[in-house]
Amino acid sequence: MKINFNINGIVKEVDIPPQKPLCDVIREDFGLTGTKIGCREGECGACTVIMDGMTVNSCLVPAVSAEGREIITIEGLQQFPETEIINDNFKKVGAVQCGYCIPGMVMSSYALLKDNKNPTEDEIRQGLSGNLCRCTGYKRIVLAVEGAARDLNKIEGGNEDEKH
Amino acid sequence: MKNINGFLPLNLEEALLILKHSYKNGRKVRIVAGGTDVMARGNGNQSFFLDSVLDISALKEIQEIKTCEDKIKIGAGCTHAQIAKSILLKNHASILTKASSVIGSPQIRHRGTIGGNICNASPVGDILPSLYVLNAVLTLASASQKREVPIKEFIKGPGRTIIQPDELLTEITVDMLGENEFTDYRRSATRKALAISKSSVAFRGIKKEGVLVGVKIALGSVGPVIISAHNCEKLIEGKKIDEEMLAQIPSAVQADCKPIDDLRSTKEYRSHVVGVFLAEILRSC
Amino acid sequence: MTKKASTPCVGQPVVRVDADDKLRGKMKYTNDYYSEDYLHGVTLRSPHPCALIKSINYDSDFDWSSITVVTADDIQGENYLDNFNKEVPFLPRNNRVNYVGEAVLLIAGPTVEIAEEAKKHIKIEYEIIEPTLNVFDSLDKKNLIYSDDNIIKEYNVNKGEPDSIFASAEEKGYCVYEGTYRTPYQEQAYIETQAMIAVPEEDGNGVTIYGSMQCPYYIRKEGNKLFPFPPENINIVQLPTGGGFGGKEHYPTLIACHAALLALKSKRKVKMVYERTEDLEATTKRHPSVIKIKTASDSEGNLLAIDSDIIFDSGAYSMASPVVLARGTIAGAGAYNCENIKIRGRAVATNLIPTSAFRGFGAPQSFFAMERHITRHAEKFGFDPAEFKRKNLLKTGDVTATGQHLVDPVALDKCINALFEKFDYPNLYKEYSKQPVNTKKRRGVGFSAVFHGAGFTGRGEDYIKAKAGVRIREDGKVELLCSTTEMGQGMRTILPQIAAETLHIPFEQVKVAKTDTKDVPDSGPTVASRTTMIVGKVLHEASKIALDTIIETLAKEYNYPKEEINCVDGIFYFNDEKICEMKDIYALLKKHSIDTSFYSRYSTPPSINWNEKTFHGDAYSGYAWAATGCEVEVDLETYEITVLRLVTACDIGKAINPILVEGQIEGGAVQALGYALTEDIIMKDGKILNNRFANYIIPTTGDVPMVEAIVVEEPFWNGPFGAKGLGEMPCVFVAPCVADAVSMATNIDVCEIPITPEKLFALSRKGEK
Repeated sequence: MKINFNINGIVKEVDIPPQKPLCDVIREDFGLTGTKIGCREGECGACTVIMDGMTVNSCLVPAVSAEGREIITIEGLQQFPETEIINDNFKKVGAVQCGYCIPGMVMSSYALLKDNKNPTEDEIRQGLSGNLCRCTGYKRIVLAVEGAARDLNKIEGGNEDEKH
Repeated sequence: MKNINGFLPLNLEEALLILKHSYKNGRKVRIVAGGTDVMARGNGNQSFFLDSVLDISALKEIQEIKTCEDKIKIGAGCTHAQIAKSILLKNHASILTKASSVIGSPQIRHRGTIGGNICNASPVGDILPSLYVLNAVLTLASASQKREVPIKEFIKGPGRTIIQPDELLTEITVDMLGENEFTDYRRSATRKALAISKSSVAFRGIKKEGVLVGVKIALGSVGPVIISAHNCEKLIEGKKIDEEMLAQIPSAVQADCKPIDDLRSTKEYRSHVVGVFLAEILRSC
Repeated sequence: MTKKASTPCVGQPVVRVDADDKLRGKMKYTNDYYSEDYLHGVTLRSPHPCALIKSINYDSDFDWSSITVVTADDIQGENYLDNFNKEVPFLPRNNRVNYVGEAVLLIAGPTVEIAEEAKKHIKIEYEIIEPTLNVFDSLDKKNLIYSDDNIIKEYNVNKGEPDSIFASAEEKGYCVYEGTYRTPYQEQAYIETQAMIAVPEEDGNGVTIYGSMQCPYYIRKEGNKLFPFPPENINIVQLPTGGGFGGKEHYPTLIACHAALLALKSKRKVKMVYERTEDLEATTKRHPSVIKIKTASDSEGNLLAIDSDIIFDSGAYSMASPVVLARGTIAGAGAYNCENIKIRGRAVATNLIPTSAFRGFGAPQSFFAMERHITRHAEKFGFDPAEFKRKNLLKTGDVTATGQHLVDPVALDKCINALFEKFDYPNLYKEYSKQPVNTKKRRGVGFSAVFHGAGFTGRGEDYIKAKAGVRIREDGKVELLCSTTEMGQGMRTILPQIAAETLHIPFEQVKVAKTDTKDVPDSGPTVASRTTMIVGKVLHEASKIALDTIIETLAKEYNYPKEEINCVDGIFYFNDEKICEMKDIYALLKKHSIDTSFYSRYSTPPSINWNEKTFHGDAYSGYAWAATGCEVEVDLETYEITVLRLVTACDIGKAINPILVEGQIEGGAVQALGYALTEDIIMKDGKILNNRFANYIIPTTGDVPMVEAIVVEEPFWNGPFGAKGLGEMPCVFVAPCVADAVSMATNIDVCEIPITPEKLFALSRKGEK
């Protein structure tokens, strides 16, 4: 089946079986290997991407569903200034260990902060509950998102000030 | 990977025609709504995708939540996230928003649909017990006709429904709760997220002069299908909530449940927890 | 004036070097390599726990032209792993399979799907043999599956005369208490599944294996036996590894060699990546255990005797069982000072999934049993558990179960004090004891004290003589040469911190060389919490040699007295006068015909005396210590457990990088919370039923508290900058704490993990009957 994909703003038609998981399309047909595969059943969240503004497990999205939708992978997320702030906070607090869950974690963190500028610890934990990490015990990931929220608010606050 | 047909209809009519033609030509169709269940089951098992895949995620007509007289109509393509966030449902069928918000994870809720959950007909489906107490009626459409079936008659067994190969579940009609109506949903699960329920209770009733009337109780994960807990309903209906009545809950639950031992839990624990939840709900209302 | 001292590096929270690439999705793991050239390897596995392969039949209607099949008959070399008792086969020996999931044969095809399809067209005829599916049947020798007694390994520790203490107990009025404790399997559940790529030499006379692993040289050594070509023709390159936790210590050797067998036969590159289900069903796990303990104390609360009988289920093959059991046996008496100790440890063969290395390596089982037992003993006889434990815990100068005289400071007291300052266990224990019984929710607290011997047991390091080095590059950068692997723990950051501090150069100038056996020496496996303490030490020594040599050479070159040459932040000075920079050193060394790589080797301190036969002596050269407290709330109707706090004070000698240290503690502790509360393997007839992430339940963000780690630094004389091993200990101390706390909250006596609501419910009903 010929399917049109829009991944990170790159539009490309690919002829593939309609049931091919989106994660495989992203990795094999687009060569974007930042999206990881850990379970192929929507449990680990390593393959999380943003589709039409919402996080999804790309292992559970059949290729056919992606037609006409905007998909952002971890590579595409780098174009947004918020990502830089999230990355910096992950680095600063030591939220990265083996790194395999991390692209998915960053996707979920980004989506969470888009939705909620001042998330509580509980809201962060809920927002990241679809991303398994076996290394960190989650604490530093939660701290990183808290830090990123603070930094993002500071910047937005700063811009507001400039406006006045 | 098996080379099969893929369809991505943009409106309902088109979707139903595809089903009709496939049926006529003897081609089996795997319908994909959110894919959260279908894709996991099809992983490593290409035959699961049958002869073709029909993706219904672009059908805007079945993605709306609206009122219709004293009922609420929910498009079968509404996602769990959409239901969990719906103000209309929060105000008039809050049990659905509560049940939807515990499903899977944010990623799963962004894709998984209420229609998919129903058509899976799994006894562990988190949204089903709530639909039972809300007297959900399902609209099944084919290219030639439409029919309405109560959810209880729709689900025949674990994974088994009466849907026909040329039919699509398009809409779920549920009761709009009255002002003095009370509902609650409780479930137990092995962990806080990404968890399938071990047992669950959906409750509905009207508090009237110190007693509960119109009691409806549905239990999940304690039988091959969702169980309407008639013994429990009978015990509670029209009675004062006191310790004496609460003490009889476990035996009423026993009479209603048919739980099994599996990877997630034991049958004893499952019935026990149903009793605990029911008592908690009664104490809180 | 120049700065007198270099910018400090050790002890600093340096940002890990690989974080940025990982965050941006740029880090390439094994499965991220794609090529049209690859064949894809899959494994046909035994569906039976014990059977003989009678025949292998290939469907003649299937198109086999693109398929390569490897069976045991294709193996020219020795068909077993040398590292163990020479009985772990690459593919079945004598046509026998011994567990469900054992590799029967290997298939490679142009895609995974085609290879999987081919698998369906191979019919194996088995003759079923009655399996042995639990350790007790195995000990009864119902069927002989290993040697003449089914015991893979047995160790006995004897100290004093425990039997005579127990014999006289009644007469003397001693408090004697017995208990039996059970622990489950645990799956490492790294998020990146096992993955390897084997690339054959064109002439078929060599192979390079790339993949996810902890121990490149293990693979190389085994490959050398398996394949007929010269040893140097096999090379192993570790790729970024998405978690290991012991699960990528030994098992990857099998996968690597499987991929290589397919690659050499097909003359193609072969990629093998396990799907999650295959990984869960086929790879090694933590040993389940049954541990019986008997203790005696006097009426003052002095621990007089310990008798511990430890049984580990090894599964079908030894794998690392003997060494795991060694650590488990040494931990059999907990961290207690006791004159009379008897520990019997046995690793027993069954027709079940082989068990092997997992973070903690035998200690989590023994410490769970012993710490829980001591709390029960104390409570049974009316002692305050914390007081009872403190009174009997090891102190500096005491003698351990194996007869090791603890001359170095025992930091348990320091850890306990630090813990109680933040988590007032003694008072919480008193307060929560007064909670009403008939409430919906009740709280409880737990406390544990443990040690973890870092590095190999006894003089185990002697077998490896870990070698590592530093290489001065032409551009002035320094490369660290070791076979230690980065799997998330942070060695690519910590080892450069040690080297930079020693060489007096900026951190940014040091990096770890690519982990390729062609280029780096064997610094030993990345296991046993030995990276910082052992490999770090070797690199510290190598760096010192490098710096001394550089300074001597500079002295010669410029005719300065070497005592007056020093290096500050990578710049060399004679007194205050700048001589040159690191980037000039390469040329300088070359000019003086000095090799630009400097190596050192580890040698176990001569003072360490260990007798492996009698299992007596100095079990470890250095010990890390920890005191841990936890608080839980339990719903007394649903028995759902919420862990409210988990606080731990760990003495690790020196935190080379405090952030990474805390991250290790927090992550290990959460992995151990899974062990305590939800993780288990459920089997039927030897087949693993919970073979997916949907039913092997590891903690999510919502299930765990913010683990509070307190770092205690009691320097170890033989560690780099005083550092001891850390990685494994957090998996050791959590389970007993949680069990104590849940028992306290529920008044249900917990002796088994995982502590599920179902088990608590069943136990509560038992009590009623």
